Formats: sequence, C-alpha cells, structure tokens
Amino acid sequence: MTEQELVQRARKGDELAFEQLVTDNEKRIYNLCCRLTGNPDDGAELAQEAFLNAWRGLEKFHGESSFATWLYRLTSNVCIDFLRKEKRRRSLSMTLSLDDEEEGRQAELPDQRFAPEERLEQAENRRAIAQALEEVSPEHRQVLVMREINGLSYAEIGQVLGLEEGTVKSRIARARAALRKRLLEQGNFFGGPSSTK
Amino acid sequence: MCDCERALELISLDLDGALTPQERQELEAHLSACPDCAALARELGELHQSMRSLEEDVPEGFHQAVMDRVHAEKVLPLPRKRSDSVSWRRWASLAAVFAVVLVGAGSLGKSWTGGSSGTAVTAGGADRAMVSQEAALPQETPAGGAPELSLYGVQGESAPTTREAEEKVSMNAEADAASESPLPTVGPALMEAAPTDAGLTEEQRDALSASCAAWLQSSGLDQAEAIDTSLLTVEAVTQEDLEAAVCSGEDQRALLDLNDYRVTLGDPSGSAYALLLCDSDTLEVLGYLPIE
Repeated sequence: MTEQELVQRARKGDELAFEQLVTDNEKRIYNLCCRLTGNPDDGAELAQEAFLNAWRGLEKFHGESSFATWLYRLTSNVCIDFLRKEKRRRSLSMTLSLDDEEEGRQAELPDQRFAPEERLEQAENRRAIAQALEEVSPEHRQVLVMREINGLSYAEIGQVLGLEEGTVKSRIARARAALRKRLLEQGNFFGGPSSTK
Repeated sequence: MCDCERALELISLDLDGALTPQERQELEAHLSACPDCAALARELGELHQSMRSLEEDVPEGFHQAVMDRVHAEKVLPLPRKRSDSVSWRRWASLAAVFAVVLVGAGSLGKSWTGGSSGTAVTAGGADRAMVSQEAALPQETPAGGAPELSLYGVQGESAPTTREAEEKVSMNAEADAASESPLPTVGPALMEAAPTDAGLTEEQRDALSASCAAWLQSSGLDQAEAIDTSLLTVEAVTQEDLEAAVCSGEDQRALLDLNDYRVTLGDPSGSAYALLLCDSDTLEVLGYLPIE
C-alpha cells in the first residue's frame, strides 16, 4: 500500500494503516527528537507526542508534501517549541544549576554495533558530537540533524522548513562550520593539525 | 575566483555529493592554495562520517507506546469547521436542554455523573503545542450523522474536555442539534459537575481570572470598566492569535507561544469583553487581541 493510501485509510480512523505510517517514520522522528533535545527521554516523549498530534491532525494534511515531510515538519516545530520553553524555564529558574542540567541532558544513546575498543572510541565521539550539537543554535542543530543524521535531501529540508534550496545549502554549510568550531574548542576530536579558521 | 567563504559552501556541497564538475575544479584549486580550507575540508569530512553513524533504532517499547496512545484516543480526525465562538457554559446549557427533552420523552438512559478535569489534555508541553491545530468542532446541524467532538477547543470554540461529557453531549445532540432557541438556566448540580476550560483546575482558573482582572484594571483598554471579569473562557492560543497579538514588549512577545492560553474575559456576545493572551506557566498576561 502506498503512503497516500495509508494516509487516506488512517484519516478514516484505520489504526492499522496509521501504525504502518508510524513504522515507516519512527526511526527518523525518534532520532530527530533525541538529537534536537539532546536527551533520549525527552526525545522519546516528544516523538510519541508528535505521532499522536499527527493522528489527531490528519485532516489538516492535504497532500501538499509527502506525509513523511509533513510529519517531520510537525515534529521539528514541536521540538523547537520545547527547546524554547526549556530555555525560558532555565532563565526563569534562579536556583537551577545549569551545569547539572546540561550534564543530565547529555545522556548517552547506547550503541552495541561495534567491538569494545571501537565502541569506546565511538562513544567518545558521540558524546563529543552530542555536546557540540547542544551548543550550536537550534536552527543549526535542526539542519544538521536533518541532513547528517536523518539523511534528508536539500529539497526535503527546504519543504520542512519552508526555505529555498539555496538557503538550505548555505545554512547547512554554516551549521557544519559552527559544529566543527565547537568540537575544536572541546579538543581531541579531530586527528591531524587543525586550521585556524 | 574562489574565496574561503565560497570554499566552505563548496566543501559542504561536496560532502553531500552535490558539486558540479566546474565547482569541483574551483574547490580543488582553492584547497591546493589554502591550507586552512584544506584542514577545514578534512575535518568536516571526518565529522560528516561520524555523524552518519549516529542514527539510532527506536528503543524497545516505543512503537507500542505510540500505538497505545493512539488507540486510547477516541477522536477521529474530522474536517474542520469554523464557527462563532461559543463558551463552554453555553454548550453545556445546550446539552442540558437536550437532556431535559429526552428525559421528558422517556429515552434518556444515562445519568449525569459530571467529569473530572480534562484527562485528555496531556501534561506534555509539546502536545499542547499542537492543541490549537486540532479540528472537529461541535457541529450544530449534522447532516445525517451524530456530531463528533474534539477533546480540545479550537479557534474560539470550547468543548467539554472529558470523554464522559463528550459522549453525553454527542448522544443528546443527536436528538436535535439545530436549535439556538433561548436556553433554560442550567441547574447548579450540572454546572458544578462541568469540567474546567482547557483542562485547568478551579484553582488555576481562579488564579488566571485574578491575573487577567488585575491586568485589565491597569490596561487603559476601552470599556475595561464595563467588562464582567467573572465571565471567563480559556482556550489554547492559535497561530492566528500569535500573528495578531499585541504585546506590551518584546520580552512578552518572545514568551508567547502555542502552549499558552487565550482568555475571553466578559461576555463575547456583547461589546464588553476582552481577549487576553496568558502564559500557561506563570498565568501572566503577555498581550491581547484587538477586537474588530
């Protein structure tokens, strides 16, 4: 069954059809939420909420893009709203230790795919990238996750964010440079002599 | 001629396999002459490779948790219909009329047991970010079918936020949903059983009312004195509200989002009412909507 057919059935209340849509999209959506929030618990919760909102709001989807793109856009907006709320809560809370919260939010996502030594190095790299991702702006984080982790094309990213492809390309380039800069500041990520840029 | 800023864009395009042959030549020429950009290209390449392996499988139980929540929803996605703002009290009053009619006809089989605060409104802020996007407004003139209700109020509509109340209103509206005739006074027992707007507790509602009344008093808005601040309806802020909002400062505007409340203070059927936009955490008034 095509995505379009699944959506049509789901709009009529067919939960099995919607479940297939969930299966087809859950990995991307889960990863988007985890990487944008920097926390797998928050990410899992937001991803569930995004699917629930998609179920409730199916009548608002008119086929102007693929369902996957629409869902991705919906999820991205949910995450950005969450991050803004979190930022506001942090700025309003005078007793909250920001260091503690930062540490708590950098919970590792487990990776069981490699041998122990590789796994350790992988874990270190992942931790460094996760930390650096948290330090770049939400807009840069968003395009980096979409392009580098979820593998969305420029056109898809443009559709999700409502941007021209040229703008997407520029933003991704600047986002990559920003992430690299954070990693350089952390130190020990890149092999070989770094540039001074 | 390629400068370093251009080189960054070309390096990025190269990582995505999007360089034209001419662009590749341009980039290679620059990299051979610029050691800084050469290092940049190498490091971005390393980063690109590292990030590709970051995608995770969903955790165990995630899929089932999503479907459990979907299954728990009793709302079917329905076409959205715009209609005039109707306070929850008027809607409950309408339901009470149908209840009286059906009792009289001997066909009412269920009892009104009242409702708790809106359990359908989940705690997550992310969820509420989408509340204002939801559809399925109460249809007052159904065409051959029972009107179905959203668990959320949207675009000026307020609907019961418990499933019990939803089912009751739906059942009673089947009898006759077209009438807008004058309604009898709703009994105090029924009103006491009514769930609060937007899932707020009575305490929160009182605090919101106090915040709005205090703001109104100091606002200098026209007819502020004439507005009955005991009449209060709470709904979720919509995207249109955000665009039309008048905020007292940039700080307030920055705080306003789709998780917040639109409060109708006073009687919207007349001219003495105000539409205030309040923060869902602090209940502070962040702005208002001009009334045309």
